[in-house]
Amino acid sequence: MSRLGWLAGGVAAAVTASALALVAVQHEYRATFATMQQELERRDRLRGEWRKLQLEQSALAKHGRVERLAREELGMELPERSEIVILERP
Amino acid sequence: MVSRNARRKPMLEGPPRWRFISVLAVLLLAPVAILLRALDLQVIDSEHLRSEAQARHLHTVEMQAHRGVITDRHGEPLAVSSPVQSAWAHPAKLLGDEAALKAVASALERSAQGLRSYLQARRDREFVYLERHLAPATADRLARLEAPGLHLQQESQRFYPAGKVAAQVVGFTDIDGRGLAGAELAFDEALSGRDGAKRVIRDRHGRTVEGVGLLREPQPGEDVALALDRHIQYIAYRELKRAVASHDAAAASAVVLDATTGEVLAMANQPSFNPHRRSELEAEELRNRAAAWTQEPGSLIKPFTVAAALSSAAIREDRVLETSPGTFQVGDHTVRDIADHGSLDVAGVIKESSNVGAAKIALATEPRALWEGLQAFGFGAPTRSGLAGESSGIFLPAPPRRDVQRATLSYGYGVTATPLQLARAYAALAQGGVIRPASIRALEAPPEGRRILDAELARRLRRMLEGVVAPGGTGTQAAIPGYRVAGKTGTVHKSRPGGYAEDDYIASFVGFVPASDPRLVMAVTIDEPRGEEHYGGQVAAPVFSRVMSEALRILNIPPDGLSPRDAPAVAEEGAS
Repeated sequence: MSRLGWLAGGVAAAVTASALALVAVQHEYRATFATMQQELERRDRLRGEWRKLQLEQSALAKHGRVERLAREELGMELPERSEIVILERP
Repeated sequence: MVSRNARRKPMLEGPPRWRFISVLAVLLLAPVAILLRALDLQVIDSEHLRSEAQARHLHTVEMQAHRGVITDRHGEPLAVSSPVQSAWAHPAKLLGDEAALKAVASALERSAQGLRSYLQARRDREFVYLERHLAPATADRLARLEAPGLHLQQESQRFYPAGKVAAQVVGFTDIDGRGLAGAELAFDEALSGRDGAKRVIRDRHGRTVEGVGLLREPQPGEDVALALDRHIQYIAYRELKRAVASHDAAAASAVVLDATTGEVLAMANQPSFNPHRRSELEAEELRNRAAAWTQEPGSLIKPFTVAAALSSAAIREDRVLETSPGTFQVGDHTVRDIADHGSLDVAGVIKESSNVGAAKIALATEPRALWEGLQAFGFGAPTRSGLAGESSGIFLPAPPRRDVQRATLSYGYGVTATPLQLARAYAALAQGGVIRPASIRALEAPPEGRRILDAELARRLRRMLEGVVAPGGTGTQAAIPGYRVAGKTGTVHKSRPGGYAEDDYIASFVGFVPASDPRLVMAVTIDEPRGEEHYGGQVAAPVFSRVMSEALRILNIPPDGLSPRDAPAVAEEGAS
């Protein structure tokens, strides 16, 4: 075969290879993108859960509720000024 | 050769030659036509076709950015977004399945007939909300129905753990998460972040088959830390509510400032509203009175009148003023005290809250010095707190020219201010004469202040304000055992169109603790207290005392006014 023939063959092979590589890269990109989507969804789900927990915690720790529990169920009360002894560190 | 030719001849003469050529031409033309068409599609018309194809299965989908959390200064949540489901439908598809429609209606607790006519009216649309922000159980039921044309979409809903307690300060958003009031509105830009977008391939049924690419990453909103301390906020709210109930008042507000930084530690209002139940909302409840409601400061302005007089050397501190017989004629206006206080020195004018004394001090002061002295404390100017809808009050645009104006200005009439402005002005006294902007956001470092009063003079004024709370003063009920308290009472007739109301009062108290090294400033205002008691010292001062004594305990601020009886005992190691 002539030199020109070899060249044409080589270029054709290169074009085919690059076309296949393009497909492979595209596929890989989509797969990675899908993984990322899943991870983002997981992050959102966890964030949602974290916020729910925050809400739950703050509902349980509501000052009105804590005060009621302390006063009614535990029988606690604020000490009078006369009942407090103030200490000074020597 | 001949015989072979002879045998072939009849075959060649079979079909005519034109037939062969025409078949060949058709067979050749067909691929050429296909080729030309392909060329047309691929090269000449390709753009149009590609875009058509993409429009059919490539979609750009919005990615909602998460709204930031609003917290108090310690990171306790005040407004949090939590994911919820919203139901939407493709009306034509859902209408096509009668059984599914009935099931959906029953899950949503609506009548099938009502749902049908609702959908029928919107038949030509492709997207109609059925119900937004579903309860989790309802969302589960709908998801299990798998009704045609019914879809669930994730959205976020705002929750306010502090509820009524901080409703006006925190504010709220609309159903799409845009800030409408309070901090939600003031910091909307930072909180909202930026929505993102991604490109996805969808099949014929509108289901997402795969994600193709990220066009714009969503930028989650920033968290905003307010200066509020949720605990102090709660106590201020609770005590305010109690005072309003026991004095049958129309409204009330309270502001607690960190004296050293100007941060708003608490800002409570009565009446208040539940941010989760806004359908019953009334305009009065919505107002953040502490920052938006202006009142005449009345006697609360007297320390600043005295400051202006003393710093311009118009009078000396030991000047004795004659306030007998409790009235004083200025032009055709009579200045009145509630009693005859006799001869008073400057501290006595503050302690007894004598209008006559204050008017005499003001008339002895050069008008411009008085006007500038009061203005320096922020009257008529915004506090730069960062709150939405803050009011600046009204202050004279130029020094008062008439004596009557000067006299009434000296005891706080003809000028208006918000509780927040008053708290800030007192914070300037507490800080030795340096005024700072108020801040609703938590600060890393105190903002740059501006000196408006000599430090020594500010210290002497603090002494005078301690006299108000000491026995014999007007604000004794503001006292807190163990601490030195400084403050001032105020009682004004409420101004109405056409004059001052005879029986409607605004009772207020502004003060700071511990007086020796002030850390907290609090302004309490009770609007229209009904019943026997209506003076600031009777109605507002006790609120100050109760809120501050708990706040001092929470913040671990050591007492500075212990009587010798309960002076600190020295802890001895090993002592039992």
